[in-house]
Amino acid sequence: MRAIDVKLHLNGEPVSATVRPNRLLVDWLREDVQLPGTKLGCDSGACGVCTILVDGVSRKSCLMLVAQAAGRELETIEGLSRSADELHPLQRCFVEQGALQCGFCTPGMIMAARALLKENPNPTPSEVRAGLAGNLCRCTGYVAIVQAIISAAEELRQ
Amino acid sequence: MVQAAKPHGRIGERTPQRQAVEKAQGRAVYVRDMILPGMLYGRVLRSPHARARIINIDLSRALSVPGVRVIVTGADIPPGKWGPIVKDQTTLARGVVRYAGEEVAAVAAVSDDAAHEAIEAIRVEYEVERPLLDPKQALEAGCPRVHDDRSNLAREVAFSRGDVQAGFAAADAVYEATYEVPYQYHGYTEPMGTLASPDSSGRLTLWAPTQSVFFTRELVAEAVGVPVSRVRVIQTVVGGAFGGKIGEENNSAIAALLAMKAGHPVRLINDRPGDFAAARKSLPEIITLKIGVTRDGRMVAKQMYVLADNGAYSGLAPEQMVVTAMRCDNLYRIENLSTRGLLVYTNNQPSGTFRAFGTQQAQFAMDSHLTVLANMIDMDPVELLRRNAIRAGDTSVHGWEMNSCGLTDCINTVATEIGWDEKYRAAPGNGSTRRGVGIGIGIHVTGNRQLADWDGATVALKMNEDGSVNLISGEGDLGQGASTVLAELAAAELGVCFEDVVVSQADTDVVPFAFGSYASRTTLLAGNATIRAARMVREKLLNMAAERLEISESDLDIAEGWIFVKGSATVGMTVAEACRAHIFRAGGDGIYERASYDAPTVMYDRKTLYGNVAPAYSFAAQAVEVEVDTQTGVVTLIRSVVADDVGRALNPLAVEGQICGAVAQGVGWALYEDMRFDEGRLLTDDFRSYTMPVAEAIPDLQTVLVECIEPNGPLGAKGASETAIVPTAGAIANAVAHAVGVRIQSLPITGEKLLDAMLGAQTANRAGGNNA
Amino acid sequence: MHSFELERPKRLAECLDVLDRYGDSAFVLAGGTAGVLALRQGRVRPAVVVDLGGIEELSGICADTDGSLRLGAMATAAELGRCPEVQGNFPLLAATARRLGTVAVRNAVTVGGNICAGMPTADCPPTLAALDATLTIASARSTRQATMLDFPIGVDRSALDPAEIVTEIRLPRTSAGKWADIVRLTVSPADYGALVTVAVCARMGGTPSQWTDVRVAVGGARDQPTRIHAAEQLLEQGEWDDSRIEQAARLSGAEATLSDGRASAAHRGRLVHVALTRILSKARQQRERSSGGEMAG
Repeated sequence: MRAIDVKLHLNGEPVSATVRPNRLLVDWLREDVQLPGTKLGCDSGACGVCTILVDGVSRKSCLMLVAQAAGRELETIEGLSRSADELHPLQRCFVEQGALQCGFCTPGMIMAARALLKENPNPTPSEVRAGLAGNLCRCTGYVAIVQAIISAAEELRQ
Repeated sequence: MVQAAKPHGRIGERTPQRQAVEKAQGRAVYVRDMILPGMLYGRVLRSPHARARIINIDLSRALSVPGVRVIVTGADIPPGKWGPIVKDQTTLARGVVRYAGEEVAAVAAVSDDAAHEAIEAIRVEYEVERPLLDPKQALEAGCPRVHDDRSNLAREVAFSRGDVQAGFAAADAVYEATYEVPYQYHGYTEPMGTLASPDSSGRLTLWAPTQSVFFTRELVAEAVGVPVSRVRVIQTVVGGAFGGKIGEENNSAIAALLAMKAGHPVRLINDRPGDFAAARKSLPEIITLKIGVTRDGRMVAKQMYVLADNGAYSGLAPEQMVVTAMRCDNLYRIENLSTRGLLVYTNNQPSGTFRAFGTQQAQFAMDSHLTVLANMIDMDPVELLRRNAIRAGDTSVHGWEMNSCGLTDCINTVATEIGWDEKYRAAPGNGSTRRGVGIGIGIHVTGNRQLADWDGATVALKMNEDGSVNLISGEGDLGQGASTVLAELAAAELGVCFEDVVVSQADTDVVPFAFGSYASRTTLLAGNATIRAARMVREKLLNMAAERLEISESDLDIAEGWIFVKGSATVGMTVAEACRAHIFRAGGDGIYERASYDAPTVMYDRKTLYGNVAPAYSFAAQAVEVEVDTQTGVVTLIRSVVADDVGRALNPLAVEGQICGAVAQGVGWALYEDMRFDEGRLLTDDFRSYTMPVAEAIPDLQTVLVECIEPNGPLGAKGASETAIVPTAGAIANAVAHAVGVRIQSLPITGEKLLDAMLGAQTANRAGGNNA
Repeated sequence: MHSFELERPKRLAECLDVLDRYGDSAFVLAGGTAGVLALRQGRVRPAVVVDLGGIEELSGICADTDGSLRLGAMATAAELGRCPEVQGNFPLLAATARRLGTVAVRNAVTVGGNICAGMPTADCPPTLAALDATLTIASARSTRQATMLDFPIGVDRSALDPAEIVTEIRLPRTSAGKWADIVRLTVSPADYGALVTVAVCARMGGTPSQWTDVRVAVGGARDQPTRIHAAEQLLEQGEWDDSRIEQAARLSGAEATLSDGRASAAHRGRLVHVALTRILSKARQQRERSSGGEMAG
C-alpha cells in the first residue's frame, strides 16, 4: 500500500501526516495524533460519538478517510478548551446542568452542539433537538442536554 | 437504621458528578482508550447459526496471517461450565453452538486489522440443525433439548395467595388478555470491552467497564480455571451499562483467555453487531393476565401466567423471570392471586440482566390490563389505581414492608401535571390526528436479598495527612453519580469539604468485597456504610482534638475541615493537623476506618417467595399524552410527566438525570426499538436498524421528585435509577388506546402494527363487531 | 480495513483515465457516508479507491444563462439546501436536501453519491425525477446523458459501467417555478432514514382546474424510484377533486412492491396513498386560495 501525504489543520495548528490510504480519520485522531477524546461507538456510522468539526460543520469522523480531510480545518473536543481549568461555555453548561452521565457520547454531542450554534446562535429547543438527530445518548434522555445547549447559546451570544 | 447526621454540605444540592469536567473535555479514559506496552488487539468469531454442531475449525490460514499471535477455540478452555448462578455456559463454544452470535474462536494480533483478517480466514465447518426458536414449543414432548445435560425448563415458579376462585366469584368485571414483549438491547454507546494483562507470574489484571468488579473476578476466574486470587479486576470509566455489563456475557473471559495464552496484554472490544448479539438482552415474554375487579374498583383476583425466553444460556435470567412473576403485585393492595411462571431454554440469543430486572415486562401488561378494566366498570383509570395503590406502613401480599411509599402522591402528581381530568374526558375530535392520555405506575427494589444471604456494602475511609479522605469502595460508578453521592455523604458526616473526598477506583486488590452497581443499591447500602465509617473517623478526630486542645469531646464540632469548640469557632485545629497528630506520635497510626451495612431484610423463601427482600422500595408513576396520525399509524409523544418517589433526593441533578434516561429507554422499548430475526440470527444489529430514541423523540418530559423519607435510607434516600423505566410502555399503550380506541398488546407499537389494528377494527365495526 | 491504493485526482480527465485503467477493480468515493461504510464493513474490497473530493469540476452549483441549473455531482446536500438559486427556482430540491438524514450526513452526502449508492430509499432520486433532471455520465471514452428514470438503481446495483461516473445533474428551466411539494415519511421519530417519499411537480394551467406537466415520483416503495405515469396522466385530465385525488393516490399506492423488515409492501402502499393525498389536497387548497399566480411549493 502506497502511503499518502496529507496536510491539514487540526485544532488550529498545521499538521503534515503520512498515512496508509485506508486509515480512518477517527482512528488517526485517536491513535496517531494522541487525541482520544473522539470516541468510537458503532460500526455503521449511526451513533454520532465520533462527531468532530470539519471546516466548521459537523462530520462523522468514522465515515471519513484521513485523505478526505486533506486541506481542511479539523476541530476536536480537545480543541475546545486548552487547559484542564478552562472550559468552553458548552462544556461548562454540560457539566453544571447534568447533561452528561457516562460521558461517552459527550465529546461528539458537544461538537455537534458547537456546529449547531455556529450556524444558528439562537436556536429554539426544537431546533436544538433537530440538530442533535445524529447523536445518540442512552443515559440522559436528552432533557438536560437541550437545556445546557440553550444556556450555552445565551452565554455565547453575550 | 443508621442514624443520619444533620444534613449539610452538598446534600440536597444539584452537584455535578466528580468526573464531569474530564468527561466534557474528552479526557476520561475508557477501556478502548487504554494502551499497554506490547498490547495485542483481540477479535471474536461468532456463529452465524442458531443451532449447529461444530465439525471442524481450520485455523491454518488464519495462523499464517502476518501479525497474528494467538488463536483460541473451544479446545483451549478448561473443562466444565460456568455462570452467575446456573453453570451452563462456556467461554467459547465447545462442540456445539446454541445461538447465533455465540463466540466460536478469538484472535489476538499486533493490530486490529490483522486480527480482523485472521478472523475472516478461520474456516468453521458446521452441521446446521433446526433451531428451537419458539418458547411455546420448548416444553413439548419430543422437542430437542438446547442443552444435553438439562431439560429446556430453566426455571419454574408457582405460588398463590389468598383465594383466587373466591375472588373471581366476587368480581363484577373480569378481563383476560395476553401480552407479548420483545428483547430490549441496552444500547450503551460504549461497546463492552476488556483489557487483560498477565504479569510475569501469570496473574491477570483486567480493566473493564464492569458493573461489579467482584462478579467479573469470580466469573472470569471460573471461566479460565484459576483461583480468584490470580485475577485482579479494575473498573474503568463506564460508558453506560444498564445491566449489560454485569458479567453474564463472555467478553472479559475471552480477553483473559487470550492474554493468558499470548503472555501479553490483550484488548478485546466487541464490535457493535457482536455486542448486539452477545449482550444479555432483557427477557422476551408472553404474559397472560386474568384480573377481576368489583364495581367499586377493588382488584379482587389476579391470575398470571408468564412464559419467558431464557435463550441459549441463563445468566441471571431465572431471577428476572421471578421478578416478572411477582414484583408488580407489591404495587397493589391485593390479596388473592395465583401465578405460574416458566422460563425456557431456546436457541434464541441469551436473555439476562436489564434495567429494572424483569419489572417492565410485567408492568406493561398490568398497566394495560387495569385501564381496560377501569373502562369496563366505567371508572377513571387513575381512580382505579388510587383505590388499589399500596401505602406506607402496608405489608404487601408477598411480605414486602413499605416503610416509605409515595405511590399515591406520584399518581396524583402526574395526573394533575398532565391535565388528566380534562384530557381524559376530551372529545376525540375528527381530524386525521388524535390525541390520548395514559397512565402507568411502577415499583422497584433498592438492593435485593436475592443472590445470596447478604445484601450489604462495606466502605473504608482513609484519612490523609492533608486532611483529605480516600473513600474506598467496590461498588463502582456507572456514570449515574454513585461515587459523587458517597463522597457527599462522607463529607457531610465528617465535616470536611466535598472536594477533599476522593473516591477510589473499584479494584478487587484494594477495595472491600462488594456486589457492585445494580438494583439501584449503591446509594442506600454503600451510603449507610459510608455514614457508619465516617462516624468512626469523626470520633477518632474528635478524640485527638479533645486531647490536644484539652477540651471535652462533647464541646467540639467539625465543619469544612476545621475542628472547633462549639460557640467559639476560632479555637480549634484543622482536620489535617488531627490526622498528622494521629500518625506522628509514639504508638501512632493513620486513621483508617471500615464499616459495613447489611440491609435488615430476609432472603425470600424460595418455595413460597414470601419475605421482605429489600430495605426500601421506590415507586413511580407516569402519565403521557400521545398523538396518533390515524393515516400512517405513527405515534408521537407529545408530553410526558413522571413522578418518582426516591425517598430523599441526595443529589437532585443526578436523580433527575437517571429518571429522564430511564423514561427514554422505556419510550424506545414501547415505540421505536424493533428487533428482527431470521432463523434466530439478529438482523437489526446496528443502530441504523435498531433505532433508539433521539432528542426529537423525547420532546417534553417533566420529572417531579416525590420525597417520602425512607427510614432505612441514608438521610432518607432510596434507589432512584430504575423505577422510572417501568411505567412507560403501559402508559404509552394506554394513551394510544385512548386516542384511537384500539389497543396494542405487543411491543413495539409501530405505525404498521397500529394501522393494521385500526383498519382491522374498522372492518370489524362495519361488520357489526366491537373491539375495545 | 482491507488495503487499497488511493488515487486523488485533481482534474476530471485525470480521474476518468484512472478509472479507465483500473476498470472494475476501482471504487469511486464521493462523500463517504455510503462508500467509507462499505469499505469498513468489507462489502466492497477494491484494489483502488478513487477519491473524487479534490476535483473542482465536480463541485459547485451553477445557474446557466438559459435558466437551467447545473449541479456538480460532488455538491453536498448541505450546499444544495443553502444555495439561493436552488431555493429560489427549485425549492423542491432545497426541501429534499434539508431533510435528508441528519446534519452531519447532509454535510457529507453528495448528490451524485446519493443517486449512485443504490438505496431504494435515497432521498434525491424521486425529487430529481419529478424535476425532469438529466444526468451527464462521463468516461474516458465518451460522455452520455440519461434521465433519472433511465438510471435504474436496484439495491447495490448501478447503471454505470465501472469506468463511468456521473459528473453533473442538470435541472431544466422548464421545471423551474412549477408548483412542487414533497412528503417524506419515516418509520418513526427515532428513525431519520426515509421510508416512503412522494414528490410532485406540476404547472398550473390556464384555467383554475387545469394542471399540466404533472410529475408524480415515488421513492422507497419499489427497489428503485419510479414515476407513476398513470397518476400523472389522470391528474392532467381535470380538476383535482376528491375523486381524482383518491384515484391517483390509489393507483400510486398499488405500485408499491418493496417489502422488508421496516415495512411490508402493503404498508408502503398505504403510505404512498396518504402522502400523495396530502400533497394533492394541499395543492388544491393553495390554488383555491390564490388568485392563480405562480406558486412555489
